[in-house]
Amino acid sequence: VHEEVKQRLSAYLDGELHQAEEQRIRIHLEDCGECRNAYGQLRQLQRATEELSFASPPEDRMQELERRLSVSAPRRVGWLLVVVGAIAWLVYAAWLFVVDPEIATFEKLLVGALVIGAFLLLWSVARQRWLELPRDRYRGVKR
Amino acid sequence: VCEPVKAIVQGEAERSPDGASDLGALARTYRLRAFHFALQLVGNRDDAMDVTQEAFLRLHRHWQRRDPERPFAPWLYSIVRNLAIDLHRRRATRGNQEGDVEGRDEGPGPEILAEQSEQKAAVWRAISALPGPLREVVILRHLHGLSYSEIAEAAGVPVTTVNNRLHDARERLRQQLQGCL
Repeated sequence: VHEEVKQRLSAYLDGELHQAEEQRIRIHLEDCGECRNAYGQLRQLQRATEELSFASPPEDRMQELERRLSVSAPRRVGWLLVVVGAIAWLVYAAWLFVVDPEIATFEKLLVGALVIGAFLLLWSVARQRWLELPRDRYRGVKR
Repeated sequence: VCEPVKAIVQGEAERSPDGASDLGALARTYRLRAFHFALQLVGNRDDAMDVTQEAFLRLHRHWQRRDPERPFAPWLYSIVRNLAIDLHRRRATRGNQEGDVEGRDEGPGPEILAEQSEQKAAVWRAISALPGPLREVVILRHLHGLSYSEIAEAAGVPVTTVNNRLHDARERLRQQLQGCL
């Protein structure tokens, strides 16, 4: 029982035990000087750590945090609208181009080749960047 | 009259009603705690502030997809913890690449304390010298007052692990600080 109680003293100190177990430990502490001593030291440790105070944050950077949070919501919505709008316009323009009877088929194929080629180049660069990102030594460097 | 009181007791007040303004209010309430947790993990004010800012920006990014049942504090603490670990790893990787292979797993020194009496410095040094997993449960329990289940959620471990780690950590601290307390 003694060893078992010693194992549970930490949870007892934090009030994290069930009522019956808590009562069992309280009764044991009344009888056992060694456990009472250990429990007293744990309480002293708790008090000593609660008295620790830490350096304050730089106030200007705390204000910067609030500013960044206040502007980031409309900025996200703005970017979303711009991207969705741009994609919708591109799809619409591509469709008008494809169905336009005044543009010859070979002209459509040439423009299509240019667009697909540019897209593939962009895709390959983005993919390479994505794959190299975890090994990038300068990723955390601020500009 | 009873409902708001009950809500506060049960932690409802921390849960996040919709909208960024609520995150703004939560940020004002929790920013100092987040900063101090980051400081206790990374050891200097600039890095701690970077981690705090990034943590709140991440919260903001994931705000719409959050689980409304999940209490706010452990979520914030887990983000701060993960960012601090990332920072530590990046530094360690860079250190290794530059030939510094000294892999010490020791926390910040007493220079991060606001008041540096001999006893306080000794207590913090003892906490700081604990292995990382033990150190973080002591910090979350003793310095931030989180419950075992909140610590479990913040650290991503079961409650029994929190219990065992706290017991081990306190035994070490008790023995190390015996003449000092």
